[in-house]
Amino acid sequence: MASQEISSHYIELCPNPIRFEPVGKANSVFFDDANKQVFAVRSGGAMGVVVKGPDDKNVIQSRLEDRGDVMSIKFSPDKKILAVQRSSKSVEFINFLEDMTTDQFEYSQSCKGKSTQIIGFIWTGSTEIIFITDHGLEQYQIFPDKRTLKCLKTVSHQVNWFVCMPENGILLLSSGTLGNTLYPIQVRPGVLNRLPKFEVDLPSVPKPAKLSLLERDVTLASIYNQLYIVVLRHQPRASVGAEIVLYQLQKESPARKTDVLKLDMSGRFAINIIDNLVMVHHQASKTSVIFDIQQGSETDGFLKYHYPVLSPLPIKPFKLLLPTINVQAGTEKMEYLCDLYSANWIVFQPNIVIDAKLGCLWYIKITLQPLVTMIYDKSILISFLLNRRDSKMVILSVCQQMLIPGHQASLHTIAQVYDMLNTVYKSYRDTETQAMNGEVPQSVFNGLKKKVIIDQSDMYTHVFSVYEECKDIKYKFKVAVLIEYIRSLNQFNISVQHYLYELIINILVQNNCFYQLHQFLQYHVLSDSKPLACLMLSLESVYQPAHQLALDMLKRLQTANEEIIEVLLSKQQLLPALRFIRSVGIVDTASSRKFLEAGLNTSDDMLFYTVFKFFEARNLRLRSNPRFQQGEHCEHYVKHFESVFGIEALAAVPVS
Amino acid sequence: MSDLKEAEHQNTSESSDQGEFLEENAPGESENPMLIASDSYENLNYEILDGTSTAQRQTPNTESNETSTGEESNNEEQTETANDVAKKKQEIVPVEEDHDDVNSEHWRSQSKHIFILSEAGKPIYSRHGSEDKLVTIMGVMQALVSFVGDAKDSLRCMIAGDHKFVFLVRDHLLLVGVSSGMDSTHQILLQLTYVYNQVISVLTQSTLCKIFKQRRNYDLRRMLSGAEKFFDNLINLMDSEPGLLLGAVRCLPLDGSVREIIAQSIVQHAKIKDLVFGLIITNNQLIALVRIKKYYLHPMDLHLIMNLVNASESFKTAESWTPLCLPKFDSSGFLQAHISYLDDSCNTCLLLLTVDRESFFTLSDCKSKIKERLLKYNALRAISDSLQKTAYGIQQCGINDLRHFLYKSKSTAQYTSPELEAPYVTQKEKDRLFGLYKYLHHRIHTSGRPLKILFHVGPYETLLGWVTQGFELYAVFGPLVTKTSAIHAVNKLLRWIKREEDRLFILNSVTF
Repeated sequence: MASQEISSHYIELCPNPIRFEPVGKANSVFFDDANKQVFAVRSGGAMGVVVKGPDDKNVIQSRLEDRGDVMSIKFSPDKKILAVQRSSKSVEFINFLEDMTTDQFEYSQSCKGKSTQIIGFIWTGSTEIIFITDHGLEQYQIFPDKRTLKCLKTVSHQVNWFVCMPENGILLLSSGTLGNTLYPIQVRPGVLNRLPKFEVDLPSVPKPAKLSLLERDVTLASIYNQLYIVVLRHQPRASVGAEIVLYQLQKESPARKTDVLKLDMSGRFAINIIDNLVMVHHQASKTSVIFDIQQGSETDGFLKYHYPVLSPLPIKPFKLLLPTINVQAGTEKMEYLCDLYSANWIVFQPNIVIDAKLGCLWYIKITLQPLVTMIYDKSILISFLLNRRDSKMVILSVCQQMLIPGHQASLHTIAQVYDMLNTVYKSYRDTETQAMNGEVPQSVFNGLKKKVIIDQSDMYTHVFSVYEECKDIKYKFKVAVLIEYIRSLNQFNISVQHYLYELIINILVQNNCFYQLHQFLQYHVLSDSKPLACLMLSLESVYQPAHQLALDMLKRLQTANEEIIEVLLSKQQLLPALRFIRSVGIVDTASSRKFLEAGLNTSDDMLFYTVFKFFEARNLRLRSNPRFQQGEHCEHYVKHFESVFGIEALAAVPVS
Repeated sequence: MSDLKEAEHQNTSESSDQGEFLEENAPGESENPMLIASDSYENLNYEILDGTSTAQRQTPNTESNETSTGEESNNEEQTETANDVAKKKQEIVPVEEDHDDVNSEHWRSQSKHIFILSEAGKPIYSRHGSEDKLVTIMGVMQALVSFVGDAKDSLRCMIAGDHKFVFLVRDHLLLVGVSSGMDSTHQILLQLTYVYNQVISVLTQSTLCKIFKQRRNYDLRRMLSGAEKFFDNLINLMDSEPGLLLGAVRCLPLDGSVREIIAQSIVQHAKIKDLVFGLIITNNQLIALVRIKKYYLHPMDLHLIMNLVNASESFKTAESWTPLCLPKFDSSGFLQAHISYLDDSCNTCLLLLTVDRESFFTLSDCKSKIKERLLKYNALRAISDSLQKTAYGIQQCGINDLRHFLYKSKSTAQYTSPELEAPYVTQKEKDRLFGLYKYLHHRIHTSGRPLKILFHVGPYETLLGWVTQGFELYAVFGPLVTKTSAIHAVNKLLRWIKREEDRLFILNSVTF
């Protein structure tokens, strides 16, 4: 029962919400999405201001003079200056010291023009601010010491409303009667860079014309490292489900409509962007859906049409512990089941939900484990998981599951999955090498680092380890899966680690499949390496041809001459050993003593004779004298030679 | 698949792709030979075969058990036959365990047996064991031959495991050779022919035929008593002397001038009517040969002469006068041979062959004169020096990694080879080497597929055989030699032999 519950919720609220004083008669609450701070302003600030966020630890308590109701309140990025807007004409500033105390002296800046109204303001630097007015933008430099501001730049423009994405410095202005002409502006300290404007097409144009595209339906989002303008598009008739249209922001050209997310519902929606997923909450049904724009989609050649990854499911119920009113219970707390999808909910980007009445700020997150059972198609599941953060262990457990009888996936699916894993792995490795060579900026590589990489050792320790634990898997399947994995690695030109080969060989040996092993080696399914050759040598006792396979492998490696000689000599294969050193051109450096010793050990005088003559000829060639040198320690062998074949059989020393 | 594996096993190759064989004038070639050029071993075989068919006119040779192509299927049949025979043997031969030679391990383990029996199955000779005790087994052999003969066919050989049984039927005689060594069936056949010729050499063919025409059941042992040592010696010679295999004679290395003096000595002092051949031999090597212009000596006959001298001790004590039939020269009659040693140590033997039965004392005179002249010119000294030096060693050729070789000049029917040196120091190794030569010779001359060049890598040595119009060369190298360097080596060797040919060969034929 419990597991059932876990598995049916994949969207969660964070367990420790930021608590603040709920909105009331005397208390108003503000959220600054640039600094992720919640401001609880009591009685216009006279009774105190409590600032919390982005985590629970940083709490700033202060007090403002009550000069009327606060409309907007935001700290500068370095939290040194607090900007407060109380009227549509001006913004006041208060300097904060290091210890977060204030000198209480406010200074003010009014907007230009008599009929101009300030819609809002945003910080673009620690001493830079932009006022957004209905007539345009005004950029100011603040001099906190002098308590004055200097106007840097003004832009004239008709503005209905604006949306801002502080992390990426993008400001979006709505213009026109319908409000559907949007001007994206890149704002950085000292820079106002206008990007090409574009129009959002409306499902219907009302008569007479009135503002139809509203601020609440437009969101700025960064999805898969691309900036999008996410527009919620309500259909005039309720029977047709609403949809979300994604406009991709371009640098040189107007934003382009790229994706449409089909909601198949209508009513009030709220949007979050979590882990590159578009999450849409539907208030009426109290459910949420997620869209992944990199998943497979329908397309008409221009637009991609996406459907939810899963059918709508509610957020996991959240229980809040509240001090009980019951005195007798003492310090005990009472569990309070929060009302999800309540009308008091306000959603901020990218993943913030605030219940102003409850005084809670949550971060929304996705738990991946329940998704594993919800997405049946493993290849879809893996490609979904690969795009998520912190999904490594989930992916590995999925891969492992696919091998266990009962859940076993088909080889075809396994192959697809491995290809996906290796595609990511390969592109990571490529970028890594490019970054090391300086062909690609380090930043790009760092961005890639965040992606989930499944490499061979991960597969070995977390996936193929199941072979040991689960005895029910048929060895043929084990081998087939490993071969699939190796095939996939080879396809992406990733060199295969020898422990994978060892695993295959061990499985084959345990099941007496020597012929198959032989073929794998002969057709280079298992690539050559010294450790593998050594393994093969050790298998000679159970499979005799392994010896020759190992030798061939060592030969192909071309770096294992010493090993080959050792192996041949240990097998008393003196002639092959001599032919080998001759063929690779190391006759001059070979140890005559080693060969003569091996020759003597064969107790085959004819063989010994051949070896002896071989090195006599070498000595003659190297030093114009067939005799062995003192340092070679061959006296013993010379003596043996003389005793068997006679002194006259020694090569004659040339008379010089 | 693997370079290593390839080298591990013996590797035979029959091509001359690598290196270049320089086919120059064959060293030791002579336009004026004194021996009949026994150009090849196949020719000998054809003679044998012809002989067989003439002797067996009553069985026209329509289907023979082994055709000369030596197809394998035939071999299998023969093996089956052999198995049947083995069964029969057990049935027929009553097992008398106590003293039957046939069942003794010693007798069975001999590597080569030679049997002679009459057409009627009477034992005449056996190399090992006593013929008397082999009556039954010889009976089986006779039965086998006549059984196959009844089917208008002839039995040539059987192969059973390692053993080859070769049969030769000539002039009422049945010769059987059994070998478990390296000999090929053709080589055994050649050996049987030698043995047959040895019989003729003692009896003449006409006597042999006459005897058996009169009495089919005749026990030929009576006629051949005392000749067993010739058979024994001949067969032993065949196991160690390559000359019989090659159909060639080895000459004692001597300077051309010395040889000239020796030959002239014979010419001057033995110019007597009816003297056909005069020759000096030592230790199975020819020193000089003088002949009447119209007659030639066949190497086979020369080998029999050498065998005669070798096998008898009696010639050492006194000058001898003995009748001798040379089957290749004239198988129907005897020549008279005057045999004497020229030196005290009994190494150098003078033979004077005549058709005149009464000329013993004349020839004895000649011998004294010849000896006198040889002493005068120090020729005997030169001969014994050359003998002391034991020919020459392989190192004198100065060719790296060459261990041994046999070189036969076809036109003169002579061959040369160095002494056996390290590593062939034990008898076992010497025998093994001779076995390798037999193998190489067989592969090159195999009637089904004769080869010109054969390069064979074995576990202990590499063999190179090369046959041209003018010569046959069989060389033994160390096992590590490469094809290219082996070819260079034999070219170098041929140049060396060319340089030494005056010493190694008798190039001028001297006549009376």
